[in-house]
Amino acid sequence: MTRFIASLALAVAALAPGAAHAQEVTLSSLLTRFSELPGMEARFEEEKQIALLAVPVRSEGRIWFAPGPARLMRRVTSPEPSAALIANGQLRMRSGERTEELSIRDNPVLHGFVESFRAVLAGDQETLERFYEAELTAGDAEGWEIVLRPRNDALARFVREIRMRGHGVVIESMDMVEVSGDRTTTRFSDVNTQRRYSRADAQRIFRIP
Amino acid sequence: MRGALVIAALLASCGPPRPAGPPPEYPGALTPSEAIRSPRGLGDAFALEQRVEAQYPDGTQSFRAVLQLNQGQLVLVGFGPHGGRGFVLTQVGGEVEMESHLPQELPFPPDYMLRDIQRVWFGGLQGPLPDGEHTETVGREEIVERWEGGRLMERTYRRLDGEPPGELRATYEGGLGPEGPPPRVVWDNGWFGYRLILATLSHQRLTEPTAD
Repeated sequence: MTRFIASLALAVAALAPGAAHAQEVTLSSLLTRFSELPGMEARFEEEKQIALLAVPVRSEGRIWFAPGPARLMRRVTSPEPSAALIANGQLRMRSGERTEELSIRDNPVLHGFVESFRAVLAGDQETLERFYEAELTAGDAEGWEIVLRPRNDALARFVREIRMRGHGVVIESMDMVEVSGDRTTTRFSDVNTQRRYSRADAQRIFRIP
Repeated sequence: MRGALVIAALLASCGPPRPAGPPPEYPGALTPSEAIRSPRGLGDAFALEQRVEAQYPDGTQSFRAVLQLNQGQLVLVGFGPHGGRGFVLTQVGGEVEMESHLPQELPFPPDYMLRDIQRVWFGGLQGPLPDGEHTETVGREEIVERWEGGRLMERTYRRLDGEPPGELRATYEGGLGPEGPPPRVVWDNGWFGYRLILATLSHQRLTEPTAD
């Protein structure tokens, strides 16, 4: 009975005037919540539709994110294994037996691509808005959509807009439309927003030999 | 086709521009077997996704690419390290167009790439051929093909006058049959001194709209 009363009280509180306002998502409030997460892990399925190609190019795999200092690892498991690690201003990639490393800061387009996702996960509004005009639209039940439009010309020559959708601190999808008409849609599943990395975990996951 | 190497290098590195010399000449005079054929005559429509690894004296580079033959158009899309288009090579009829998002101009004519593509996938002798080795002279080139179990295993091109020396050789690991490409093709270009390893990631036959 006590549990029932407590549930009823919560339901009434949620319906009360002002409750909706109190829970309204803004870009700042959402990014603040992201910045407080211990880490994230998710599966992804990516579908890239190239305007000239009759069939999309697909990839799937898993991503891991750890804050402070931010590290983002993307491992593709299909159609062929590859890995990309973003850490310390470097993009380190491995495909087959080959590993290579690029400086992200030296490449404004690559930097912009990387920051669209990394800055959101890190809750880094300053960096996000340095590269993009960011507009958030709140939806139902903690739902949201962020639309990013590039600010700098180098990036704007490639990217028309990026849309991210989610609920709470769970990113569900990311849709990037390029100036060429190409579109890349990434869907995330099994999203763990409470992922904590032990030292051993971090050394194993955020590593490309 | 040093061009493929430059593309691979640029795609993979996007680093500082490399020294750009004059565009390399295609070795020797073009022969009839090197004439770029219209996509209309290249067969059924398909889309082939590959991992291309280029090995050359200075190193190794790799990139993901899709080769598509569809509706009279041959298209090669090479993907950059960011996952988007690095370059697009399109052939319609005899016209070749190159769209590049690479950080510098390509120091070679894009039709060099098409010559390699057509030699590997569409050139050679009229098959299928009986098992064994078959040799024909086409123009000023000798073409040799080795067939096993009804599948093409190897194809080589060699200039009769030895200019340039060396040969071009495609090795189809597992054989090239009517059902589609093998898991791996190795293209050794002895004229320019590089090797391309083409790993098949996916292959789809496409249905072209019928003309009513």
